[in-house]
Amino acid sequence: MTEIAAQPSSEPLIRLERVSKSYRRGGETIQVLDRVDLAIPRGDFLALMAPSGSGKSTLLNLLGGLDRPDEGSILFDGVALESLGPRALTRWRAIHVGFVFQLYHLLPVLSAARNVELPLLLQRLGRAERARRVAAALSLVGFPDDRHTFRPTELSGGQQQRVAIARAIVTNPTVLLCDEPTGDLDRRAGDEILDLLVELNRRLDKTIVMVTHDPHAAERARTLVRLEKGLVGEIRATSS
Amino acid sequence: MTRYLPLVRAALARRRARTVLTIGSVLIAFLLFALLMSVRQAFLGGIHAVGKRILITANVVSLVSPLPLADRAIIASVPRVRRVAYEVWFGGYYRRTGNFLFALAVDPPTFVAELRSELGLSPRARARWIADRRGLLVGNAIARRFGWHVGEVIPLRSNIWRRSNGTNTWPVRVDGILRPSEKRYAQLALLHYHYLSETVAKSTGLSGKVSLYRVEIAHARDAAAVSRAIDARFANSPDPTRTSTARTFLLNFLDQIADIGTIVTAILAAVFFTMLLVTANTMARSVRERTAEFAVLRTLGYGPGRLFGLVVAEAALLVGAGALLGLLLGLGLIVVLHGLLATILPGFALPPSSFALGLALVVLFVLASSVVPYLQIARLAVADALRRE
Ligand SMILES: Nc1ncnc2c1ncn2[C@@H]1O[C@H](COP(=O)(O)OP(=O)(O)OP(=O)(O)O)[C@@H](O)[C@H]1O
Ligand SMILES: [Mg+2]
Repeated sequence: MTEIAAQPSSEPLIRLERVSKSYRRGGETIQVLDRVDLAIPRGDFLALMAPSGSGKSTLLNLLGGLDRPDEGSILFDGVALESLGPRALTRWRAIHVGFVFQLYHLLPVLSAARNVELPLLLQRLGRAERARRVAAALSLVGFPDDRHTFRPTELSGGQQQRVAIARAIVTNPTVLLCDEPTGDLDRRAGDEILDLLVELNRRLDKTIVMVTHDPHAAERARTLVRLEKGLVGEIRATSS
Repeated sequence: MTRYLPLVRAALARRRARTVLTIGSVLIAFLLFALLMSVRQAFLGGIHAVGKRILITANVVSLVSPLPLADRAIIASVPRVRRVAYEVWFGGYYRRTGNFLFALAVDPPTFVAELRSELGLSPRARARWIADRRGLLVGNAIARRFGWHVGEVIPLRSNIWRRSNGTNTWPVRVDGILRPSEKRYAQLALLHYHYLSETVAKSTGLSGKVSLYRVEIAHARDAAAVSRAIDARFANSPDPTRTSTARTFLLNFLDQIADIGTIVTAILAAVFFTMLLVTANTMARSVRERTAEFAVLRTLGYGPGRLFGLVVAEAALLVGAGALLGLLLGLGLIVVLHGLLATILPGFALPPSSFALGLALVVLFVLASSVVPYLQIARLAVADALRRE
């Protein structure tokens, strides 16, 4: 992949306009997100920081089209997600979104390489081409060559998260959505994963949205956003 | 689509024991299917072949009650009747009662005229038998089994009739060997009616009587009318008759032994129902256990339709593998049993139509065991499933 200079563009990649989401449990309604406005520029590495239970995952799921807001609009590169039907949304997700989760969510019965191959199966690619892209993605995330056939249970947490990131970027999506990617790792392994994300953002210009409640992780992003009581609070550029 | 195969295989390998047990239960179901369909074929398979222009006239009381030989002329006088043959069930065996053979005492000229084309008998052998009061015609299966040759004299014994001399042995000479196109005639042994009726003990009440008449009519469409006409002639006689087509007669006869068709269907229905519960349960559990995995695949851009396709492929592999193994094992057993049962159940073989039926059942079971998974996938709330992990 070649390095591309960031296109100066006034229009953000993702724009949330008065997005609300609530859950009903029993008789009461829990307002998780309340008219959230947020703009995420192309090429940004944005950390969304908030305490546990404040709606971080909910927001990320809305961004990735896994769930729909009650009200408001999510514009992705000019496309309103709410205007897409279920099929179109699935296709859109396959092209534009790579997810990374706290608990990696690799398929336990498949080898590391097979896990990374999964999103490629949806494309019209030959076997050899798939293998080439899988190897490239695994090498990009610094996953050891001799472990490609290992099952997730035979890998460390840090290695599993590398495989998960390789799976998320192997289709070259527009945005990476990371839900507490270091939440289950010790400090050292967590730092290595953060290094990797920074690298993907800086060198490959990948737009990354990462939610976390860990200030140490949030510091590594370009932009830090605090979510409080369902509203977006302080926004500032980080020192990184 | 083969690129998804590792994914499907991995899903089945997830719980090896359960996969093996499920395939095993499908295997057993289809093994039973193959065997029972072959039994059914052995009993009912020949029925289509039974001539539609042959009527059977028997005593209305029961098959064991004979009819007077004098009835023959009366039946022959009924309009649209072409020919009338008659026969007595001999209950024949050779040396031991287990060496059972399908022996009939018949009126040679009429009987051979009726069956000539199907028996594969040379004109010379036919003439020889008709002229020989103690002559016997045997199917090639019997001749081969007992090593009989033309010209040999055989002490044929009956488990029904006694002779006036006190024995139950009738010496007969093999005059010809039948090489019939149809398997059921290969078990046949035909001796002269008059030889039997003139030597049988008076106490049997057989002399001057026959077990049944075979009536040939010109057109199959006349069967009902001619049957009614024959029975009407004897309605007020001491021995009223019941006439039916040979096919109906055979079906009724088999019904008296057992309703094979119904029994086979009932057993298979029970077996397949159990099998369906097992596979449906396996599929439903397997999908429920993988709720989080399906949610992850959804985040990767897999649509519900594709996930359902994967599940159907999984079910197809389970049911297909079990069915294939069961049918192959069944076919192997059938080949072995066919040899062993050749004399008791000729025609014990899996009819080709059963393969089509088996294939249809596979498709049906794959779809049926995918119903619950379909609902599970359609209702999958991705965000919630990921949170639950
Ligand atoms: N399907 C649901 N039904 C009811 N309540 C829900 C549902 N999903 C989320 N919630 C609630 O919404 C709130 C926000 O949940 P969310 O998972 O987005 O928080 P979070 O910031 O990601 O928390 P954490 O840091 O623990 O992952 C929580 O109070 C949660 O209990
Ligand atoms: Mg969360």
